[in-house]
Amino acid sequence: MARVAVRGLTKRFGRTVAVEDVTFEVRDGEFVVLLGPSGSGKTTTLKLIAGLLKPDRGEIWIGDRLVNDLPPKDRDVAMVFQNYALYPHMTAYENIAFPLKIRRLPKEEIDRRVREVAKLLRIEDLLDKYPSQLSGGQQQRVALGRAIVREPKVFLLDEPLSNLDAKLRVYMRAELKSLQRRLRVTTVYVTHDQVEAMTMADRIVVFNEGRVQQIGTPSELYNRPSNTFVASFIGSPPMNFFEVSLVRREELYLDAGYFKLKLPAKYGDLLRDAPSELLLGVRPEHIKLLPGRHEEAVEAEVYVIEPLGSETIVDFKVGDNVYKLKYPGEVALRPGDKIYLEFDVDKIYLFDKESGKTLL
Amino acid sequence: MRGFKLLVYALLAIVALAYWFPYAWMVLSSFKTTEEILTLPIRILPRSLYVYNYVFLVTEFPFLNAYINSLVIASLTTILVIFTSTLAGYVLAKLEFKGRDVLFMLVLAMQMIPFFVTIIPNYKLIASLGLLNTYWAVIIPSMVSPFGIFLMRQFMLTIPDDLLDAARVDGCTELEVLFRVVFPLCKPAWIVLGVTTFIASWNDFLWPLLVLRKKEMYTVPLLLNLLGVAAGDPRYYGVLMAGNTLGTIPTLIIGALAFRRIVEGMRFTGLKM
Repeated sequence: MARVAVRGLTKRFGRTVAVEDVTFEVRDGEFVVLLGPSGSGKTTTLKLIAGLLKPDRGEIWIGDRLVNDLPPKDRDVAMVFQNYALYPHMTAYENIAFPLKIRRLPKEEIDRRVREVAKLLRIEDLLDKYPSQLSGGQQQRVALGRAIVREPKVFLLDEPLSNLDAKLRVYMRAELKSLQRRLRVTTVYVTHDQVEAMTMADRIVVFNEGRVQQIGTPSELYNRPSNTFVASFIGSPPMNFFEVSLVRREELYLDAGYFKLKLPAKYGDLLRDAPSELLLGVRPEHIKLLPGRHEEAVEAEVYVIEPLGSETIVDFKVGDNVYKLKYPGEVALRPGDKIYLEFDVDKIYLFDKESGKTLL
Repeated sequence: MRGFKLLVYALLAIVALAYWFPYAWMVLSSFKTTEEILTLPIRILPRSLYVYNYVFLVTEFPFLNAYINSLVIASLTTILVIFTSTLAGYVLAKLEFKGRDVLFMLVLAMQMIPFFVTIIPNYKLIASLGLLNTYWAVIIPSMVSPFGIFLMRQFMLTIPDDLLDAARVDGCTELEVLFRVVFPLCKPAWIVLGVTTFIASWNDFLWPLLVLRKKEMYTVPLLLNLLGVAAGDPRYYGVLMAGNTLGTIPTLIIGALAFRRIVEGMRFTGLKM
């Protein structure tokens, strides 16, 4: 077990910058998720840590060792790949035993450890089968087994759940997390699925266009996103954004054209230096559906209803744009209906329109 | 539908007969005396199992010697082609370096050069190396095959990079990646390449004819050619048929053993032979 530190990491492929000036640290035994859309540099970062790619600049530390010049085999990390990368010519047993065999461990010890891991992952009956005879979920367990059996300092997982069907994914999410808790191995986990990240991570590193956007616990990212990218990426359905101007008269309010939103006086100090053109961010769960017409309400038209049973997503139109709100329970609304909404002003966000940085 | 199927089978049977009849004729004739071969009306089956043609072939001609020569040359060529093609294919498919694709284009371009253009320079080269009348005279010019490199490269492209990366993370050196992961996966491609190379080498006539001038170095096709010349004399008809029959045995065995895997391998590589 060890901590992993990445400092000023930069990697280019030809002219494209895959990863730029990335810095973060994973504490000993911590579960850190690298989250971002595809092509944001998270997998490249993982491969840099594994030693499968060489950085152009920056440092990678595993434990107390600078590993930049170490080949993958000497870094003592184990990796699980998105497509599992099981060796097709070896049985499940041989796959799991492979890293130990390469290290020339005695046969009896290999056997003991493979069987231990198989028991842990409940794949004892599958050991004689070839990868092509296994289902996706079973292959995944074998791939995990191959990583665990090494007892490495660090686990690197590259979208390990993305090839599983939805039900199995939810199940494996919990399994993986409890496994990591039990083994207490420092883990770096790559995903583009924010739900996965939120549910599994101790801390999340949000990537976009090769750069780190924000590092924090799931609740920090949800409650205090540092910019519009993080705000829109974390949370499902994503945050709604409205272009607004900040008006300071006797009262402080936001003018979105189709509606005005009065702000509490306490925001006055916080927004003293704010520019007048802003982006207003409101999460779907912070929009309330009012029972009838109300003077300060936002008037909107129902666009689509998405019932989910326990809650309902209502897509509504303000002007020409469509936004979403989350309503607990079922609603008796139809497309085209007029509705009146109230935004929870204590939970709104304001962003600089130019830079996307969070102001409030 | 049934009638159509019957028609297809009938046509296939005719084609099969057209292919097999001359072969069967050759095998049967090798067990006949010259008189039986020449007798009219034609008799299909030999009267008795007359083996003197074979005895004559082995005792009066250096046939066994030629057989060994052919086996050695074809086997060594096959092993070397597989070796060079696999390494080159791996490099061209999996390693990244400047000019790799240009290099691959050059390999493909090699395939476009007709054999006869290279005959004289190759001959001079082999002669100046003092290799005439040795196995190496036949083996060296064909131990690197553009087709083989192409085939192995295409095959290697189907091996996911993640598999190699997994091996590296699991603790393999680059050589171990090659020996423990890449090579075991190459088997289907090796069978296709091995069979085609062995058969081509076994059948090769022109090049060995040029560089193997001593009878004790003759390969089977060269010796059969000698028999063919001798067969201007009807007394040698049976002997020639015996030689031909023996000459087809290794390719028949390989074909029988590898047929299934070749079809699999072709499906795997997406290539037609």
